[in-house]
Amino acid sequence: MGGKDGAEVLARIDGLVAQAQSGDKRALAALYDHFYDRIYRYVSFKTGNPAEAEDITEVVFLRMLESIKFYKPQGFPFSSWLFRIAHNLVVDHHRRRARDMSSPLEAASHVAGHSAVSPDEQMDVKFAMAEVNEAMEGLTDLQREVITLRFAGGLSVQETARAVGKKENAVKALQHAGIRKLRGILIPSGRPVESRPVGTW
Amino acid sequence: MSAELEKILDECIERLAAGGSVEACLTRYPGHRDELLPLLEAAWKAMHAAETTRQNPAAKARGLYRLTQVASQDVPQRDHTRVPFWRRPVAKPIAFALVTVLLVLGLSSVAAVRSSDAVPGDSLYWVKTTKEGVSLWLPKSDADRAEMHAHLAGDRGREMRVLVERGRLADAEQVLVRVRYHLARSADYAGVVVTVGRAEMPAPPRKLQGDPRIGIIRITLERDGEVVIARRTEIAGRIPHHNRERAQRILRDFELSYRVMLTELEGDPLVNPFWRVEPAVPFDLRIPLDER
Repeated sequence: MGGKDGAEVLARIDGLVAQAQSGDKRALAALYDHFYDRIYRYVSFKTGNPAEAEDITEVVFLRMLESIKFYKPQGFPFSSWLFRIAHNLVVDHHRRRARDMSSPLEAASHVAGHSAVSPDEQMDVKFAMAEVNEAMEGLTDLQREVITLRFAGGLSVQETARAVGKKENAVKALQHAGIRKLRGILIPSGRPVESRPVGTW
Repeated sequence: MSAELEKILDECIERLAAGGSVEACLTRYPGHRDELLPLLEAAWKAMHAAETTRQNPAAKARGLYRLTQVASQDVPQRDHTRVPFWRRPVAKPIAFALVTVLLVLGLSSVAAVRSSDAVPGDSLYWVKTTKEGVSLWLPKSDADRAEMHAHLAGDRGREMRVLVERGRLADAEQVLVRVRYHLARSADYAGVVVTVGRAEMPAPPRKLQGDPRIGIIRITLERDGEVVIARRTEIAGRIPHHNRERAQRILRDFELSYRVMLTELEGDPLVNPFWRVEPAVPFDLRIPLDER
């Protein structure tokens, strides 16, 4: 989440962007490395398809390469700019496909697929993803965008506000409303709290 | 939904993302525990699901390779410099479309004006009805719609009179059906029940009770009704005998429809001036027997 990005990290990113704008390939690679996971998670959340998410994520960085020269900070965080590109590409993708997204289970089939977790854990993860993906369908477009940017993209409230073109308070309100809706779908009232994964709490 | 709770929730989400626990957040804000617990539980679940979305390291490496390769090729970057509009490839089609739209709009305006007196069968009549159809589709209040249908009933009435004068009685009868339709729609939107048997169907409270536009609708109906049936004896006199009775029936039916509507709007038939315009004397009584 954006909270990790302290002033120091932001300054480092700004530095990398400036170097990348002057054609420094190592700076480009560093930016790629810094943002790849978050962009991929965001796109994956939005498309529900890991293979398409990989392709779109690749294109996001190629677009970044094409346009980075014209990026001007001016209070607009680089992450917001990059996620805007990702958002636009996902929208284009949906328009092109104009068909139903993969089923949540299919979408979840990739999770942990490249990690060394046990089959049982993989199944748990698949079902958790499927459940959340289904619940996200119940949100408004803007709520879904805010939740995806915050939880999958790891953007701060300020970055999210910039990415969606809203004020920070509006983003907080959308986040709150989105979580309330998610809660209504994910955690039906009366469900015992013991069902939570105790170890994480 | 308080701004304070939104702020606390956001702070807790940041803490959860940084590795904190739900319990720590709840302990930090014991006063909001009951509200926060289910929200954080849902947030945690969504965050956990997002975190488990792991990318394929091979795909990541492949993407980096491609990025650096493209960067090395020094691919021409997107040209964001401003090109004057008229020099862009889309300028001509857009300009052509604009001119076409303006031309169509201009011709439509002329056609709309010229079609205002058209009657069924005239070449521009479709322009008139299309214009009316479009105006009926525009969102309006019930009072506006009631008024609009009253006006349209008057327009149809004038068309009906022209058709009667031209001896096109079958067409006039068709238009009379449209008159009744518009009056019925006007009554619906005004919230009055149009019936000739009031004892059987007592009028419910008007939907637009007290709305000044009820008065406007009434005046419109009175004016249009009078215009259409004025000098009806004269009109009937110009119609060949074999069609005269049919023409009179059309005009009488029109008058009756208007009277019923006005009576319902007035609530009292005695105060309706339209009743006094011309007594409801059957026309055929005025026709000399030798002409029947």
